Amino acid sequence: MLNRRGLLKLASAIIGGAITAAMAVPAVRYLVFPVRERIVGGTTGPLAVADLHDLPDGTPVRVPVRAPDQRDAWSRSPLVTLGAVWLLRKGDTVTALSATCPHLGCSVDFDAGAGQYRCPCHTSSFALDGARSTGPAKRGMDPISVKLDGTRVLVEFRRFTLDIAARVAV
Amino acid sequence: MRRALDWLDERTGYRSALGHALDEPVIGGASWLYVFGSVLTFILVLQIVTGILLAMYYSASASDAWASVAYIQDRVPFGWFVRGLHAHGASAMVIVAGLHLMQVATYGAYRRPREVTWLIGVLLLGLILAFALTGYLLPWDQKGYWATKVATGIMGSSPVIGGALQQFVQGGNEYGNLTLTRFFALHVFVLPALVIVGVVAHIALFRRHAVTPRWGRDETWLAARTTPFWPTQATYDIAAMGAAFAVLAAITISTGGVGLEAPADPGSGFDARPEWYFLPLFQMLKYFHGPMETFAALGVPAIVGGVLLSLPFVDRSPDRSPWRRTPYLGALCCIVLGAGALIYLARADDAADRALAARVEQAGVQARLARKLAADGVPPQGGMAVFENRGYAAQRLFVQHCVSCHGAPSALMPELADEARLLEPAARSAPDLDAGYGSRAWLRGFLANPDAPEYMGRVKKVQALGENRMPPAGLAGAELDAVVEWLYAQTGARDAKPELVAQGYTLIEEGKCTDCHMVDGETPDIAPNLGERGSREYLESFIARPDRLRHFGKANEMPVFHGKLSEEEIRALAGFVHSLSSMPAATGKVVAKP
Repeated sequence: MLNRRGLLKLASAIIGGAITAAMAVPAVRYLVFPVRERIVGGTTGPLAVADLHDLPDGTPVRVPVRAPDQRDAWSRSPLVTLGAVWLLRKGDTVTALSATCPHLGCSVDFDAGAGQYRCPCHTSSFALDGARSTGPAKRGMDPISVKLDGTRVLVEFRRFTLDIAARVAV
Repeated sequence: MRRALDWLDERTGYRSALGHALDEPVIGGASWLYVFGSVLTFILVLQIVTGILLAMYYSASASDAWASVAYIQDRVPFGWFVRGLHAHGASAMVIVAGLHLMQVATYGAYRRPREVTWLIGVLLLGLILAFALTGYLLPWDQKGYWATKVATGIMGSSPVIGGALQQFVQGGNEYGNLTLTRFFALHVFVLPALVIVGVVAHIALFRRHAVTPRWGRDETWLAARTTPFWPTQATYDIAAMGAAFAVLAAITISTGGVGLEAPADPGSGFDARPEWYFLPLFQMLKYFHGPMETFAALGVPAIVGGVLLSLPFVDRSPDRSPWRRTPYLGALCCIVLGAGALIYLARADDAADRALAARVEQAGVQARLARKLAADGVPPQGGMAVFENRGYAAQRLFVQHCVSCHGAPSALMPELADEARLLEPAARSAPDLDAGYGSRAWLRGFLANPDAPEYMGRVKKVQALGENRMPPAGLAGAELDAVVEWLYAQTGARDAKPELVAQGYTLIEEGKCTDCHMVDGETPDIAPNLGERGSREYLESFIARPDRLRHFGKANEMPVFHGKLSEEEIRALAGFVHSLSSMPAATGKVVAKP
């Protein structure tokens, strides 16, 4: 049998627990909302990044990738820069590599003298085709698919999980 | 478990600290009248929790604030609930603080040696009001914007340093980003820090002096009934917190949270009303004018604050019985009743104002529309730019400038239907501009009978041309298809069939059309140039200067909009008229048959 003290203790615990639960459920739902939700995003499909005639033959060129219309939580903005790609033209074909280092996401530079890509952060280096040469990166640079529409160069911009050997798009 | 707690206790001494908190003697025994302080502390914690949750999504910038609050309200799960609790929690703070103050005053608990506890309490009440004032602006909606403008305006009218103080608080000469960042910093950093320091000091002093029991009880009576805080008083307190939370949650759920007006529009009018607890000041400003206005806005609150602060120093009567302290309690009652009466009068004034009710209704329509349009994302220019979504701004321009002659298209957004109905003429005086305008069906109908009322039949100057006006094209079958296709291609339609367009061009060049019409998009002739007719650029040029020689020239009777509307507005309007072509024609509106 509960005595008076025990009863008051129980009542306090029930009321306190009820308030906490009533706040916790909405609060958790509220806080985890962005998880698995496409908060930032917009135009899907290929984005024009350059004109074929503007690309030198055999030397990589870094170009920004701009989305014409980008949603970011509550806002919708035109011409938002999503990231950058390295374009390499050989004759009439163009290949693209993501400028994001597959190690930890720094922006990869091109060393024209050495003819290879170098990450300025942790010194990973990559061959002209993106294959890993040296450094801590666990895989080569990530290829980005390219389409040509006349002389317009379009890319399917993607991001990949960092610092793993496999190439997994996010 | 026990060993782990022993380990913790040995290092922190938490058991004795907890014991100190729970074993506080409640002199004379537990009472429901002692719960207000605890309930206030509980609501303060609730405000902190909901405030932190809101800050997870809120953006304090003039271009993003409204959009982020609309996002919390309409998109984030339970966002409406969190925001509603926070807003109603602010009202609850004021009410419970008022009850706490009245209980303390009735019991004479402010008297020696508890003067400092009382003083801190009065300052905390001021901070609660400052929280409300700064929080009201943060959504950057019409209500917060205009009501806070009044508040900073009052600040600006204060003597000597008014102007400088106003600019300091609003962060410059006008409301903008710096106003929001300042109010935000005050609301979430400065005021909470001050309140926490105040509450800690208030509670520490309360513990030092303990509760003030009811008057007229002797020491032995009180000592016999004194109990520790835990469990009886603690349970009373927790039960009262539970009740307060239940009421707050019930109000929040039943009202669907707190309202969010349309985004702040400095160019509009809005009937700014402050939160209910500022209504006494609002109402007083109606009665006091000229130099007395500053007295009402700043002097009266200063006097009220002064009365409260001086209470422990003037009330030194030996007896704590309220009946022996009637002048002091009477003054407090006058303040409370006076404030209540002013709130009632302010509400009654508004309730009797029909024009106000209509404006409030209209503001509600705008608010609902803005929030609906915000679902598509708010453009970077800020909250007001939300009205550009889904072509609303362009449609509104159409209603304001085109409907009175061309009639209302069936494709208008429902929010514009009422306004369009008001402007819809008894008899139209220009061609119909409705869904399907410029489509193949429309062109066919036009070529068959240009004088039909929905085409040029109502245009007096064209009809006055008599024999010189355009006759029916007299085309049929494949020829008609080809000419329609060429005209359709001029509108910029992407689905025009190139072969048919080429055939149409040949027919037009070789046929009678070019007797009156040029087709290069530039050169004037006796009838409008058909090149690019109906394209966006053409419509922009046409709306700006329909009297251009490439358009109607002397036969024009449409108003010139160049100089009347901005280039952006004309572009938006042209965009809407252009979009009519691809909208499905409503039955009975567009007469042309496919």
